[in-house]
Amino acid sequence: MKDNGAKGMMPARRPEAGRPGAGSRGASRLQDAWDALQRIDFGFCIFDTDLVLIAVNDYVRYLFPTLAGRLGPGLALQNLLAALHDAGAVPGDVLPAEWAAAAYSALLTGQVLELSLADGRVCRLSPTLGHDGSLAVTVQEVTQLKRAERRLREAKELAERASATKSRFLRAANHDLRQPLATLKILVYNCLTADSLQSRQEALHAMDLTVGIMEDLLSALLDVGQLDAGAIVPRIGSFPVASLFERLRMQFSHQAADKGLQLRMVRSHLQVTSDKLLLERILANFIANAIRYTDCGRILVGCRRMGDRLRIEVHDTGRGIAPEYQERIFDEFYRIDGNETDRERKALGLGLNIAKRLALLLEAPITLRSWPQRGSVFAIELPLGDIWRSEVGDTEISEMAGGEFAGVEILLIEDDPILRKALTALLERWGIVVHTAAGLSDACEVAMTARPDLVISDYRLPGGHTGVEICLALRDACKEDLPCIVITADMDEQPISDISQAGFPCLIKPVSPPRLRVLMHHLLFEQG
Amino acid sequence: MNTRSTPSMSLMPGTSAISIGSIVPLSGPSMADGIEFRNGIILAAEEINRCNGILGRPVKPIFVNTGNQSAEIVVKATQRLIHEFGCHAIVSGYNIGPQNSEYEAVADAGIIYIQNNTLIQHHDTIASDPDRYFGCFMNDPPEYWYGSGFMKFAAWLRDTGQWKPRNDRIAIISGSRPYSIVIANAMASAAPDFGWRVAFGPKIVRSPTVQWRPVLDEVHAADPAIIANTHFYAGDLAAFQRQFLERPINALVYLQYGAMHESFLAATGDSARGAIVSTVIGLLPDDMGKAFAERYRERFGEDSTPSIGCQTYAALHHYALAAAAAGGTAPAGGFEQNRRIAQRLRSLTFRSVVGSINYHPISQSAISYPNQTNDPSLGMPHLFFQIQDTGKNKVLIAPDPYRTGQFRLPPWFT
Repeated sequence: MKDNGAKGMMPARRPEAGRPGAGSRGASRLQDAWDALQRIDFGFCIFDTDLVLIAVNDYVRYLFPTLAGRLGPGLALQNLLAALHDAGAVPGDVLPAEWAAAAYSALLTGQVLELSLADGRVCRLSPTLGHDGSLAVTVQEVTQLKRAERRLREAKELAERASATKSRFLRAANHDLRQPLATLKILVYNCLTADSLQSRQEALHAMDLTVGIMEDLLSALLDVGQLDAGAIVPRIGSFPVASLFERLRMQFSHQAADKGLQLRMVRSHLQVTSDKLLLERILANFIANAIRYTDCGRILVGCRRMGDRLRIEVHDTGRGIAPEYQERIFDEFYRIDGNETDRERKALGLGLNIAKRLALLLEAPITLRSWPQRGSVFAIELPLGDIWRSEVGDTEISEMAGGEFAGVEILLIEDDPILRKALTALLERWGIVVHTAAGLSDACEVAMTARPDLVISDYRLPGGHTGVEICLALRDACKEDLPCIVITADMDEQPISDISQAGFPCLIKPVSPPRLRVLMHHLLFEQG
Repeated sequence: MNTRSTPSMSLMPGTSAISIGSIVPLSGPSMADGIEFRNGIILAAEEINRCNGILGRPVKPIFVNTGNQSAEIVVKATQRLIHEFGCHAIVSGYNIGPQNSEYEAVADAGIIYIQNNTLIQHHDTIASDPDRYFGCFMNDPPEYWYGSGFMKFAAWLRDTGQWKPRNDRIAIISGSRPYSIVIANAMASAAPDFGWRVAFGPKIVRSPTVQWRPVLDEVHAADPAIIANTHFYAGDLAAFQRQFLERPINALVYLQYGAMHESFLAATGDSARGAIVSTVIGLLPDDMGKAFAERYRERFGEDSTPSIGCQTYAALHHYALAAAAAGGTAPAGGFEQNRRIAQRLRSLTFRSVVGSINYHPISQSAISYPNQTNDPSLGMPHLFFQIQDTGKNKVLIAPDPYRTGQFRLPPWFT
């Protein structure tokens, strides 16, 4: 080791008294010190005031093995730098002379140099200038350090991108959820001020649908958040355009009406092949923009068949878009500055960008035709669908929705609230609209307004009335052939005879649902 | 001599047979169908027994005639099969009339009951108490799907250019049975979804009847491009078709299930050509279906009708498969074992000669393709036929991928 260590040592060309090496004891100490320096885990080079190498340890040779034979006393700093370039420590597209000059200058001004070697290692050269003009340079391999730094930098960039994506996602969510939220606000007001049960129920129904649309939107927005990550894979299927238009109509009709605009969806029976949810998002953006930028007139949504393709168009009579903006409006966060209202300024300019990105994903071209002050037509073109492969609607069917009695109206007269409730539940399960009454006066009142298709009455009722009397009274009041059924728990001969003589069919309590069903069917559909 | 033991394909000696009941109309107005339902059970039982029965036990069919299919008769027949004959399951065709009241006897006994009543009320009965009616299965979709299925079919004809309707109007006529009313209502409800406008009806005509001229006069006034009659008695429909042709208009004519019968063709002759008829359960004219039809006719004669017998045939095979997979059968009171079979019936999609029997997990009726699923491997195809040549079979013109022929413009079109 001593021999090896001594190789890097060069005698001082201009030895001076008092320095290590003067005298044998001094030489021994110098050798000990040099041996110690050989064992440290970084390299060093010492240049004299002429910037000629006077000392270098083996670690430097280890770091630059291709230069090992040339690294020795007497090598000028400039030559060392040129040799490093030749050894591939510097990218080949940088001229040796230029690099060497720059590196030379850097070291002499105390700047740290980092060399990326051809084998992937990174070495750092850190200069220390002597007060007399000499130079010491420590050399360290910092490959692991640099890799860790790169990983950290990449992680930071990723986090920044994620943060930016998240911010954009939140802005998009804010933008797109505003549409159904605005609808909800109107519907809540409508509900609060509804002057009839029917209009309240209609408003509640529309609210229910709008909340459903919001749920879908949130789900889609989550997907849009993943657009940036390229994680969205469209789910392509066939579906009827009509079902899509109905959802859009529910979503936007209140907003359009609120602004005094007419929103017309031209019904189409055709099927298209696409991702229904993503297509809905595109069209929703078109319609939302149309409403936002149209002051009067109407929005028309319709289809044009073009061979084996279908173009869905959204027409408006709005302000239109000047030709110079017609491409740029699809850019992210782009809004045309001008005479916008406060509400319009709140739009972030994301909708059309999202639409464009989704359309690219769907491979469905978007087109725009627009005439300033006259209106615009946004359109998307899609392949026609296959009806046999078309999505199926609600497959959970029941008698309530599709049975033979669905929509039939019945007046049920029963004074026992428990029985009335049980029978009502049964009839409603069959899709029947049930009006209830507890006695004669109630029954007449309900019958005059509800105009039932059939009456079911208990025999013994309050006030000493019988079901037969009430049914006869109802026939007088409504129509003489109003179908009636009288039910009784009384097994005596008199009530049954009374019912029979009046010509009404009779059922004995507890009422058998199959018997009631057959009787009702007979009275409603087999007579007359 | 080198002897080799072969796997036993014969039934285990000494094992008792499993009684499988069937409530079928072997007299009365539905006798023709009842005989075919019986045939289907017999053929399936023979094939099952040739393949080692159910885990080595043969199946033994027992039939009780339900005649005019009134509630009283059907319920009594069900009770006899359960308590007198000790049946482990009941596999039947349809019984119109009991309004599901036979379900009560089945539910009390806890056995399996598979039928083809084709009624929406099956769904509501199951939904009212799924635990009680665990064993009740409907081996075809409810009649409701005839309605929306036909509207989809007509849209397909129009959108693919096979037929250019002169307008979007449809006239709907219904018989007075609940089955017909449900189909007519479903048709009217689905029409707008497929681009059709109901211009007339649903008009409920008291049935049975052969007097269609008054309603046809009203239909003429409505000027429809489609006339649909959801009544289902073959003879009545034959009268309708003949009376329509007395003063035809350029309209597609759809006739309900009864027009599938040979008796309809016999009564109408050439005047039936061009009419459309459909069934939510029918024999597929593919290799599997043709081979079955051949076996069926060989067994029951050339005049037998495999397109009806296929229904009970497929249902019994499915039951045997599910019972074997569940580890065996059980008579009345065997709730636990029969619940296992019911679970297997729900979970095992069975590709039979009528397409795929895939029970809906909640309603326990066969899922309809393309009405309830757009995957033909997971649903029983709703088949549309056109009568094109009265001397030959009806041509299956929809849906893909099963169709074997093309729609032709009816001969009454001018």
